[in-house]
This record gives sequence, structure tokens and C-alpha cells, in this order.
Amino acid sequence: MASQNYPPPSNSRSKTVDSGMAVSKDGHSVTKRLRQDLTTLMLSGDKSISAFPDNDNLFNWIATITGGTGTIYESQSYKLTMSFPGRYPYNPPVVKFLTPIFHPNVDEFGNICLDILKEKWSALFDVRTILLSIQSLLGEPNIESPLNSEAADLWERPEEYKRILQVKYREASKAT
Amino acid sequence: MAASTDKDDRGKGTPSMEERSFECNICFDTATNAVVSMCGHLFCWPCIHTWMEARPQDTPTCPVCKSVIDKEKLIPLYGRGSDQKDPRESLPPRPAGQREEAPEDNNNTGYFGDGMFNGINVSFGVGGFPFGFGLGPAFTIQTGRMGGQHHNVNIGHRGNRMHHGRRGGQEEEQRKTMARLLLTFAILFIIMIIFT
Repeated sequence: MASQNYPPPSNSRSKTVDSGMAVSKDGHSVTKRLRQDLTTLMLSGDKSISAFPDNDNLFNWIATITGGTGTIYESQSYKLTMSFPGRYPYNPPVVKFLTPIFHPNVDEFGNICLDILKEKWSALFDVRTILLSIQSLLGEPNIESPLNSEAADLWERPEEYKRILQVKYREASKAT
Repeated sequence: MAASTDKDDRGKGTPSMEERSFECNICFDTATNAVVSMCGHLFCWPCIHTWMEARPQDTPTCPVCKSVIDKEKLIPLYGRGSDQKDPRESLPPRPAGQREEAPEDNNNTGYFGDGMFNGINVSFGVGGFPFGFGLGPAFTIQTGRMGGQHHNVNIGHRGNRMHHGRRGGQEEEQRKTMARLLLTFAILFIIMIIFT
């Protein structure tokens, strides 16, 4: 199991930023921190978000987010992948939607446009806070910088948005 | 897989709020070599140092509240019985550069050995002796150059590498100025001798 706990080798971010900072040296503290994240998430008792390392590789997680109550995404659940760089938590993980989602800030490949996963990243964030941020992004999209302009345009017309969202969600859950 | 964490946590019980308030905001573990920012947030020194180094192009900000932070404005925390050393000095994750002083070489080639002063400095050293003998110095310069050249080029090379590798640029600059000065004096002296 321990042998599988390595950071993704082809992570472009860690390649550019790491520049020789020994991943293996920090590897121990990274896995320790990821275990802390898992414990925090499990102890939080929040039913609407969950995550667990995929195949016992601590650097790749599969997460599930259920849309927040009162939002247009209520009771829809989406799977995501989280891959952590060797310099986590100094660098953010790459988080993507595995289940296709109709949302202004998510593109067709599942890439998420969220500032805290990019330039606003802080070493304070953990898996739980990332998932909560994405969950609140679902209900409160940033229309100013859309990745899916169709969804962004429709956001102002909630009835129509909801109709299309439900069709797309049904398709997506059938496919997965 | 989270067995070790479970064991740790169960052993102590779930960390109380009081215990948790001494956790580092980056590694979430009890802060070691603790430092506190001016905005009051607690970190392990290695953790906050790595965070500050992670984005060298930006002004470092507190991971908790985004307030501007500065290495000089982090306050080390010393608990009772803990090491009173400033963690900011004792634990720089980045090792300091190493330099080694070359053994002092009293041979003047060490001083004038590089570049264009090769032959001349030898002649000056040798030529010091026959200054009193009229035309002597002129010949000495010649012989000095001829005789010294081959040998000196070698030393000069070695000297060169030594200078670039280990001596500061300023020091070398001073030395060159000195050499030039001495050379000028020597030439003036020789001219004086020749024309008097």
C-alpha cells in the first residue's frame, strides 16, 4: 500500500514549481496531512460531501458532492476526482468533475474554474473546505468568467435552466 | 489505511478545542518550532517558511487571513522548557551556501599571476636586484619575461580559476588596481634610471 502512495508523476504544476524540491523528502508529511484531511472530513459528519482515496493511493481521491438544499442542484450528486501534487498543501490539488455537469464554471471535460483552486489557493484549505467551496459554487456560480457560456446565459432564467439541468443530469447519471 | 491516525486520535481521544488551538494552520499537527504571525495565526516554522517560498513572485500572505506576512515579523513562541533558539535561525530548510577560503599563497604569482601582468611581475621581482646597475633593468625585464613566461602562464591559469571560483570580485578588482599602480611605478622608476 505504501508503495502506491506517490504523487502523480506527470503533474505539470508540480513539475514547474517543484524544481528539485525533494518530493520524497516531503512525501511523509504530505501523506500525513492527507490522512489528517480524511479524518477531518469523516469526523465532520457532513452527509452532502464525501471523499476517499482511490485504490488506496493517497494522492488520488474520488469525491462526491450533493447539491446544497435550496439550490437548483439540490439532491443531485456528482462524482469528482482530486489529484494531489507532491507539494500539497503548498500547491492546490487538481479537482475535476467525473460526472458531467451543466454549470457555468465547469467545462465539458469537468475542469472547474474556481479561484481558490488556482491563484487564491491557501495552504490552510483541506479536502473538506475544497468540497464545501465547490458545493457552494454549484448554487452560486460566477457568471462573469464562465467556462460554459450556454449555462451562464441561461442562469438568469431559472425555470429553463432547471429543465435543461435535469435533462443533462439524467443523461449523465445514466452514462455513469 | 488510516489506522495510524485512528490510533493516534483514539489514544488521546478526540482533540479538544483547547488542544486544537495549538495546531499549525498548514500541517494541522501540533505546531513545532512554533511561530505566530502579526495577525495572530500559529504555524510551524518549516511550514510557514515553505509557504512563503512557494510563491516567490507574490508578496507572502497569511494562509488564514491573507494579511501580508514577513519573515522578520513572525514571532517565535517559546514554551516552558523548550529550546530558546529562534526557530527562524535554527531551521532554515534551505541550506546556506558554502564557500571555502583558498590557502593563502605568499608567492607573488598569487597576486599578480593573472592575465597581462604575468611576465612583468616576475621581472619586477627579479629586477629589483639590478636596479642599481645602469642598463640592467631593461635587460632584466626581457629575461624575466622570456624566462618566466611559460612557467607563469601555467600558474596564471591556476590563479585565474582560483580568483573566479573563490575570491570576491571586489577583492580581485582591488588587486588588479594595485598591480597596475605598481607597474606604473616600476616603469616610471626604470625610465627615471635610464634617463638620468
